[in-house]
Amino acid sequence: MVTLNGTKGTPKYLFAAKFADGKIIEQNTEDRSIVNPQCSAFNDVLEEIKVNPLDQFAITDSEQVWLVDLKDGKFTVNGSSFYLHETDKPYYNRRLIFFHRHWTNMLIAEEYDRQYCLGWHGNVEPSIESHNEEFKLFIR
Amino acid sequence: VAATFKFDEDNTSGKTRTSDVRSCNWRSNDANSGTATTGDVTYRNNPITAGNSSFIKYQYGEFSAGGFTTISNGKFGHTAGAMDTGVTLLGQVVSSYTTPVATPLVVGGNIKDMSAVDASLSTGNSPAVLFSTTAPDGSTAATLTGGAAGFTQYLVTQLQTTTGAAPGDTSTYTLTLRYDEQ
Repeated sequence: MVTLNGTKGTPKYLFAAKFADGKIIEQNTEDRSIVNPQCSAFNDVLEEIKVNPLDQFAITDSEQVWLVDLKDGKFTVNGSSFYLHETDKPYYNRRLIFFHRHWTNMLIAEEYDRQYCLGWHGNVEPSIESHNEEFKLFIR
Repeated sequence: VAATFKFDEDNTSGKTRTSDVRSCNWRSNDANSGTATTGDVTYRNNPITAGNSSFIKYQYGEFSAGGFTTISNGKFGHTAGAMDTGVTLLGQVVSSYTTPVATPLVVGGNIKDMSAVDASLSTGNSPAVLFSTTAPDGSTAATLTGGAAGFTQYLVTQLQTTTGAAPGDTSTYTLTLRYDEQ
């Protein structure tokens, strides 16, 4: 995790990723990749996705849980499920969207906002080259 | 170890780098905006006389190595704080450096009038920012990958005034560098 001006911090939300074969990768509080310690823990998810489809991805602060299911595009927030897409419309090649967005004020060199983005994008036709649509949540 | 992000500033014909600047005080001389250690105690001694422009500021973001997988989707803009009467803010994002001068920038091409607040960084006056693994004026890419150390492009700004600008400090404005991290 990138910290501003060396201020030590820990991620507000930690993630867990569940893959098609049942494998689970959980983010450690140091946010360090096991595959490549130079990277954040999310690197291990990206590496695993290359050989093992991702089924579900969730973030939590131990009290609240946001989850996206890549199999059907369903979001679940604290146990309540919903869709952001029209469920009678097929989507192909669903891929995870996950990042944190930093807003830093250059005039005082401080980060004043951080949003966690969770969602998925998929193609409207089987071809990976076809039109792509995104469905995502921004979480503070 | 978590990566560290900080702002730096280049000044003088020798491109003198000041690391970890903690403000952006436009002024009538080519001097950096001060660090956490030094502060900026000299900008009030070098005010911009009404009707003139500040020296151009060349600031940029710097990421130390490690702690992230990707850094991407950089954006830069004026996100809060209405401009004072007689004061305008021009800016651009570039990968080149020239010795800072007080010659007024002129809107056009990459140079934007950033006076209007764009809180969501969604207008054309809030340009995209690319990244480089070598320097703010190095070759660029849309993404820093693999936890490699790097820089943003130069985030260039200049305050321009009319003779109607009030004396003293301006109001506080917020200039935002936004980026996405994985």
